[in-house]
Amino acid sequence: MKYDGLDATALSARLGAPNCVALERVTSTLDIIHQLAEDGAPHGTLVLADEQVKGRGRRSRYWHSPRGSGVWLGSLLRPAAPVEGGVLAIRAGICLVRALADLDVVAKLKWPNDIMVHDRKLAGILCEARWSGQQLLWVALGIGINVHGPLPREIADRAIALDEVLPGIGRLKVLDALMPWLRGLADRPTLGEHECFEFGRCDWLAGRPVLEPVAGTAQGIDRDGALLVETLEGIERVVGGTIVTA
Amino acid sequence: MIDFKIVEKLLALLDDSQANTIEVKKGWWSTTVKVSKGPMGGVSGPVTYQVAAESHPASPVAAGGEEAVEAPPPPPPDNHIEIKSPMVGTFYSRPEPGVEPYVRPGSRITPGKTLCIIEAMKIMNPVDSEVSGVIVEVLVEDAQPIEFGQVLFRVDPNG
Repeated sequence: MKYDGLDATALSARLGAPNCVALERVTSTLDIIHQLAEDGAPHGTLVLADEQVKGRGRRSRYWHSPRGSGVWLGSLLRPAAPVEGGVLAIRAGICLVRALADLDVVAKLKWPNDIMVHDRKLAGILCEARWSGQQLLWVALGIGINVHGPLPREIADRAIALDEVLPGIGRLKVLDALMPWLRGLADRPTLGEHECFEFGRCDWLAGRPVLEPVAGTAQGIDRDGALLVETLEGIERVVGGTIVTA
Repeated sequence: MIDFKIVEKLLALLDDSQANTIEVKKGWWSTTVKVSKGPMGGVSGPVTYQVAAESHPASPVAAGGEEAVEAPPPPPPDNHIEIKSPMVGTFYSRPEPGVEPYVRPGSRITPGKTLCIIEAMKIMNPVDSEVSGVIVEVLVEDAQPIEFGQVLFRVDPNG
């Protein structure tokens, strides 16, 4: 199958991926990554799909991913050294913000890694890890970026497609901007100062009142990627759950 | 009553420190909470915790020594295996809302069987069984925050 005119070999070369699989229709790119990982595919393997019929977010929430309208990407990570899960999640979001900045789009990060443009969600990231006992085998990274609108009316008030702010943009240009940043995703086990600073600059939640999972005011992240919420009893670290803002 | 938020914070503090025990006394009218690392405590191995709460008397007149406000749960039978959380996160008993849980009391499990998912910062981590047996008890509610080392399931290997 050709993905915007390029076959898998040409995509691998252009995007610098050791192994690239382009597919017309998948359940979710995450499912394909897990299958390839079980078969021994290398770190950095990339799956691009034209359409996902069961694209998923947290708690298997449906991710609208119709044919040709977005970048539906899966990437296989086999960290050489132990990496905190939260670090990967935050760093993947920062990579996407950097890529969008390269395309002159200002994006914000809603902890841990929803990408917001004009207060609407442009892209989502989901990671699924596989373990053998205490040993991390691999992480499947899934990224969904809405590139072409229009979006369905029922989500249009809270979601956005990139061509609304960048008319004429294509999927390959998005991938060209994103892939160089994604290459170093699993290289370092903790967030560096610069990454924390970058997160702070694009932190969508900063200063906003949070209702759940704890009530307080969002105050950025720590070096492990945990969200810090100032409550009446002091600063609380949040590592999971759904963030509900006032 | 034990303030479990305080216990959570103490456990996290204990995790990050070399100390084996932390004791907090809030005042003569209040509760003393003491958390200790169990015999398996270490840098890389799983950690068990002991939590003790003591209530101080409300007035010297009523004093009669320290009084335990909550009895420790009865120990599990010796042959039961405890499956503990490998990380801090949110416990999910089922793959998505509205479907059957991965396991429930009475479920027969074998190595490799997925028992639950723990979410930490949008990374979904399935927890697979390393043992065979029958689930005797599920100790955590769906969508509940959990700590590293917290017991999630009890399994009867001879069940």
